[in-house]
Amino acid sequence: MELLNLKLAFRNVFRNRVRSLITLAAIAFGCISLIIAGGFFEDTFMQMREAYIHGHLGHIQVYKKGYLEKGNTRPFDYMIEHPEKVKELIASVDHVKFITPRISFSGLLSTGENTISILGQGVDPIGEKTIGIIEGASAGVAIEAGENLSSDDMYDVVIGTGLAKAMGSKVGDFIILVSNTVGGALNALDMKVKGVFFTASKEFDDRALRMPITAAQALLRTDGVQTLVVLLDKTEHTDTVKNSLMDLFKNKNLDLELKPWYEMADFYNKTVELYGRQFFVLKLIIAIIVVLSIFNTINMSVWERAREIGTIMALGSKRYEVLKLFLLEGLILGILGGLLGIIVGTGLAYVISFIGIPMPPPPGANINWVAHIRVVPKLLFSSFLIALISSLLSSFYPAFKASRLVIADALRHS
Amino acid sequence: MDVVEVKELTKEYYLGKTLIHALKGVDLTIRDRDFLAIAGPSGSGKTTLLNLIGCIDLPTAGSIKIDNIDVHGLSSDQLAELRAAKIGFIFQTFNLIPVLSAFENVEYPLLQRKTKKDERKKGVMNALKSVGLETFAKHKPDELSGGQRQRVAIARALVSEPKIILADEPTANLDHQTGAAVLEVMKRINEEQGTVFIFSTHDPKVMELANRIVQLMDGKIVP
Ligand SMILES: Nc1ncnc2c1ncn2[C@@H]1O[C@H](COP(=O)(O)OP(=O)(O)O)[C@@H](O)[C@H]1O
Ligand SMILES: [Mg+2]
Repeated sequence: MELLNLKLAFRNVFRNRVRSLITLAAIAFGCISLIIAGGFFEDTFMQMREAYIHGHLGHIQVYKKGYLEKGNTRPFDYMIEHPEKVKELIASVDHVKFITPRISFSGLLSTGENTISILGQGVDPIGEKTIGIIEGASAGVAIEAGENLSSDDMYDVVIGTGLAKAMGSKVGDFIILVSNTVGGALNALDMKVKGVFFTASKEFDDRALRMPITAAQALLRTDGVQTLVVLLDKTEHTDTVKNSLMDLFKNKNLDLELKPWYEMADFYNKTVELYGRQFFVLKLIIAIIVVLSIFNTINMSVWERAREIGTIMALGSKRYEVLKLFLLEGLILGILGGLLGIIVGTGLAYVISFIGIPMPPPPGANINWVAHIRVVPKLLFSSFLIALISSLLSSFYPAFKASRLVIADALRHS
Repeated sequence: MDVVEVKELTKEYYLGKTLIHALKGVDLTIRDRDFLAIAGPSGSGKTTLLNLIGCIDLPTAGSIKIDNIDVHGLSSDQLAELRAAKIGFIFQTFNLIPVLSAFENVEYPLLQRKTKKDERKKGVMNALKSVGLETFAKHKPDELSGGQRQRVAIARALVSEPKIILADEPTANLDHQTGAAVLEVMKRINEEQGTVFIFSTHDPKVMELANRIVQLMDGKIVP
């Protein structure tokens, strides 16, 4: 009987070919829109996330305990004293690819005419270069003019585009950098502008200055560092590594704490949430399209086939069997339409990705970028599920109506 | 042995706000091996009576017993089981399922009863043979003539070996000669297998084949 129902349902679906094809096209169209839109969001998130991570956040940052809470006001009270030892320890954890130290400080930058407060970063030029590489995409930190720092630099700096504009400085200019030392005295260094950079974060570019960590340590008169930036092999491993590191710190009784990238990328989180809501609305709209088109098809079919329904019930089919038959027809439409949508949608996504969508800089950033359609299994699965569930939902009412027909009336139906 | 026993059967319909008395107290007993014609002009209640006997509609009042089972109060599923076990249907408009072949149409009631595959095949081929259509097993309904379609419908009614086969104007959509041939088939099955046939008609030539005729007029049996 089950096999018969399946056979009947299949043949019935293809009985009115034009109508069924239109229905299938509507469902497929819905799935395709979901895949393209969802894949676009997925790619945007991915690129944005990687840009933040490789721009300056890294995957995880490690600090001395207390830094996160009080580091803002007393940054030099929370220094990691033997960075080399800690580095070694962290490097032993799975999925950790690279670790680089940083010192942050606030200071004043002066050209003689202009003086501006800045956010200084002492960095290891080689380390930052490694972090800045995003596999298969542009670098997280891009040099707009001049050159980036290299390992043999000492009294050279690179500054963000916004800062360069505000200072009116260009490559080759000499500037004076003033800051408090760890001990509280005032210290100043003469530095040369070696390059101008930009990252995904405009906020960062407006205030940031980077210099070799050795020069920064000399300026601040310290041997310690504040931050160890940890880079992983894959962003997906962030939580795993975060947990192993926390266990490690606890077991070894280390006075350290950490923060993963997503707790620092506030703008990214807000964007994901906003887009996520938009995407939900899109899903809803598409579910409604699918529901309406299948409802229409099955409803018309019940109406046209009233006499046939009366006949099979006269022959002994029970109400629930009629219900099942029409639900099955809706389900078949949903499955076929969903599959068609997945196949065409995936193909289309590859074509669009191959061409690429040129995009303006996202809010808060400076970089033009090229969007792709990123087809992830989760997305295919969810669009297929939407097709399936809405097809079942929408065939339920007509199927129920069919199963409740008075047989004699259905048979008189012409 | 009484196969069908109908007492004081009344059926009323509402057509908008007007009440239509389609049957006004019908008493009828149908015995084993009957080949019974229900005659009467259009609108006299023939279809209504057959539908009530076939348990595909419910009476307003009165009682119906099929094979000594009072159908009053049975659930729709119980009625479906009763129909599947005891009653076959032949319709004026044939009502074959268009997406199924002749073989599959005849097989349908057997699948309903979960008959085994080889038994099913034998039953279907026997039924098709007895209506002379064994070579048309693979044809779809739209590849068959009207007379052939009605014979497939007879095979479908026959295949589950019901006690009773109900046929509402089985020849009305066929030309005279084809209609007569279809009725001959029914008659032969009645004689060979003892299946009770109750059919309605207003064709006097068809009536002649019946071994009993019940005349309906305005919802009542004419004595
Ligand atoms: N579903 C219905 N709703 C309203 N009136 C009906 C319905 N079915 C039949 N009738 C009426 O009942 C009477 C008997 O009809 P019917 O049994 O079809 O007669 P026959 O089959 O002899 O032509 C007719 O007056 C017909 O109009
Ligand atoms: Mg009639």
